[in-house]
Amino acid sequence: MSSENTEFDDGPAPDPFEAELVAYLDGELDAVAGRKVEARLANDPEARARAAELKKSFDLLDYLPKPEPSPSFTTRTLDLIPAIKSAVTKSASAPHQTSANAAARSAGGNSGPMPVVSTSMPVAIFEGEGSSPVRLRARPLLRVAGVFMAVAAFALVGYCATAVARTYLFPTRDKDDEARAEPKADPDPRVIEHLPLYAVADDIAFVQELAKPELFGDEPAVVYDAALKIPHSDTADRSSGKHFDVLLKSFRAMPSARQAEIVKLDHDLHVKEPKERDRLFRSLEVYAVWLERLGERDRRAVLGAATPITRQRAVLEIREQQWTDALPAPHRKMLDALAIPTERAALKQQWKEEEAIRRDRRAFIRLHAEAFAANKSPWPFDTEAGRKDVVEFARATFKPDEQKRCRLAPDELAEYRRTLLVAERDGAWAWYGLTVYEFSKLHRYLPESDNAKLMMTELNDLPEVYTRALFKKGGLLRVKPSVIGKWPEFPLDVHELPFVKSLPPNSAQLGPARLNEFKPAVRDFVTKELLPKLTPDEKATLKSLDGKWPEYPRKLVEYARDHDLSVPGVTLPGSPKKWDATYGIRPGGRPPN
Amino acid sequence: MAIGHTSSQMALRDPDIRLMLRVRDDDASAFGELVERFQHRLVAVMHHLVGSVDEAEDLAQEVFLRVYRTRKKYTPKAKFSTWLFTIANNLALNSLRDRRRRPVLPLEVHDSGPLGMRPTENLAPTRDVPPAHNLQQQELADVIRTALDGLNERQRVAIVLNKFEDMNYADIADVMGLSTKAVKSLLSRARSKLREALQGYIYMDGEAPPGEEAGAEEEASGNTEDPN
Repeated sequence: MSSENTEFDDGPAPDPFEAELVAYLDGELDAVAGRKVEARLANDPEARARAAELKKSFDLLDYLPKPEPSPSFTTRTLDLIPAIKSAVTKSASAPHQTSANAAARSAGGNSGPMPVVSTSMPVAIFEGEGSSPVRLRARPLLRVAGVFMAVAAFALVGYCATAVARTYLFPTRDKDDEARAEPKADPDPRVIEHLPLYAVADDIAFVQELAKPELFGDEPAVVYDAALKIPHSDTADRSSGKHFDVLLKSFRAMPSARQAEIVKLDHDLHVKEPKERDRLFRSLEVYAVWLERLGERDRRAVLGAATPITRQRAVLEIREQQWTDALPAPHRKMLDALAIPTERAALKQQWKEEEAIRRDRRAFIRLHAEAFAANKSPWPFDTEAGRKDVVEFARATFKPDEQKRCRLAPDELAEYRRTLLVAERDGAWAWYGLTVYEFSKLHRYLPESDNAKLMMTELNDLPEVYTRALFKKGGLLRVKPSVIGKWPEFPLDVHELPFVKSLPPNSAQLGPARLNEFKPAVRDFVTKELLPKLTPDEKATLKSLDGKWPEYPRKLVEYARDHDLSVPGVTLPGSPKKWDATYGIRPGGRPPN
Repeated sequence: MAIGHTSSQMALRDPDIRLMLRVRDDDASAFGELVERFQHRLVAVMHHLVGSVDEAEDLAQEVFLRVYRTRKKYTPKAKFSTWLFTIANNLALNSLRDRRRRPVLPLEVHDSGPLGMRPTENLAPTRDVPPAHNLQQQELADVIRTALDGLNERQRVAIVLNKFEDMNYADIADVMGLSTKAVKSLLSRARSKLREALQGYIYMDGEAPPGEEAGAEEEASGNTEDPN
């Protein structure tokens, strides 16, 4: 370790407070210095903002991709050292080899019909004994093929010798059934080519589970690269037919029931829409590589699981552990500081939800990448009228400009204003659209009335029967202060109070609950557009709720949505399905509410 | 550094040191285990430093090779990872300096760093320019990568070790051959640069900046709870 260069010129001296602030955020200050920084932070909003920016910009580094070494890294590194290489080759026949000598053993593995391959050094099966011990980087396709070959060889050969994997690859079955099974013709070559992937999956349902964001659906290889196609073996290797033959032999060696499962999985994947099929393939591919890199014990837990469900559970548990292990150090410290398991679980859940929100936002950006590149605004902001309608709707329902009646929380209001500003100034309407879409789900609205008496927002507006009950039963204290002044939050809150259920039936309504009590635009919409589309049952249900608030208007809004209609002034202008398609979550992500 | 402890006492506590001592004593399997154990961290750190996966792997291989070549001289006097990353730091800095000396560079050379900043119009904008708008051009990761590339070599090394190896200032100082005070200055400048470069992106997660939040609270007094 050199120590001669302990100081150096690295540009102008840093701002002393900023240096203290950074050290404070890094937990590097002693108690006295830490208290000084804290005191300044307490009194100086600008310092607080600076601290927040320093922290957040540092946190952003978590978004950088975390590359893994290529599967052949160990082999290639060991190959650079002839002494190591020869030593481990000699000990290859030892019964309990380490991963290092397994690497050397795998180097000679392609001489026999069923190569014994270390899963940690998969690419070695493509390298002959005489490979030059120089820095050798496999070509990408070869590398990918190597991984899959290793997975196949691992799944088909290595673990077949163990009882656990036999359960997986050769599920228990009636021996008579097997005896009765007719020898079948070889399947489509496509099945054989994909055998390394299929061998580590059960069925299409299992693959669909793998493609969920909490497992592998959120991996960059699955999410980002839409152009990535189904992996194929390297053309050169295929023409030689050697590896194909190895795979074919492995397939033939499988029990017919397992063969049938694999053929069915191939079929089920290929009947999917190309986009979905590719996504599932990529998830399967990521899973196969992940599996290949797992430690021995975890891999056994996955491959040795008795059923697809227990296998899914095993995968989920390991992924969960990996997620926790990969948390940034400050998060891990926070987690470690919590002694109660439920508190730890709640905190992790909160972080996962935050992660999901970030994921969704990025998915949204990807969804509209092409439109962004072409400087186009997504529907309905592609026309002046569309933009105007949505802004007007948002003003009327969220009430961002009315201090007391505003229905958005402070952080939401700030976000709303920011996105609107950016949209109006720079034409970035997509972000505004997403914001409005999300808020409209969070703060659902109900049809208003022209009759001010039915639009209650204060305690004084409530019908007498409610105020009497409220005063008598201490209900006043139960009304949330934050809902005062807001519609429909205030009457909805009152409606939820326990005493309301004990009020006599037909007590005064808390809001408009009959068609003639709604504003003319909603009345027209219901009579001219909604009612003609409702089924007799739906009409009957609606009729039975007539006069009941909020049940009647809620059902009305629900039916409109089911029939892909927008209720004027209540739900976002335009087709609800189109809103979901444009601003909803990608496949496999969180479903819209 | 633990003074007054013997090698064996140190080794007993640290399994990495124990493994390295096996490498030193020519245990054939130990080196493979060492490579397996540290390859992920090394490749990741190298990738963050040089920005290319291929180069990161080459450098990581170089580190292991050097560990092997100097194994006989190894004496356990610090955490093994500190020793390993000292080698990594030297190799990475050499590589980055070599790159700077090369006449043909695809990127503009910046006086403070070997990779140089990309043209300013591609850099992360200030908060006046909305992130959503700019993400039309490139993904957030690219923006962050560019911001990291905008740091000079030493700053980048310090940031990467601090962030991704969770190293404290003293360990970073050991690895980089600097005083702890110098590391503090280095990280402070680096963090300020990152803050400036990423300013337009730090509130993308929907959280309002402290200033705006305060303003919003004043305007919507009492409206602190989500009514739903």
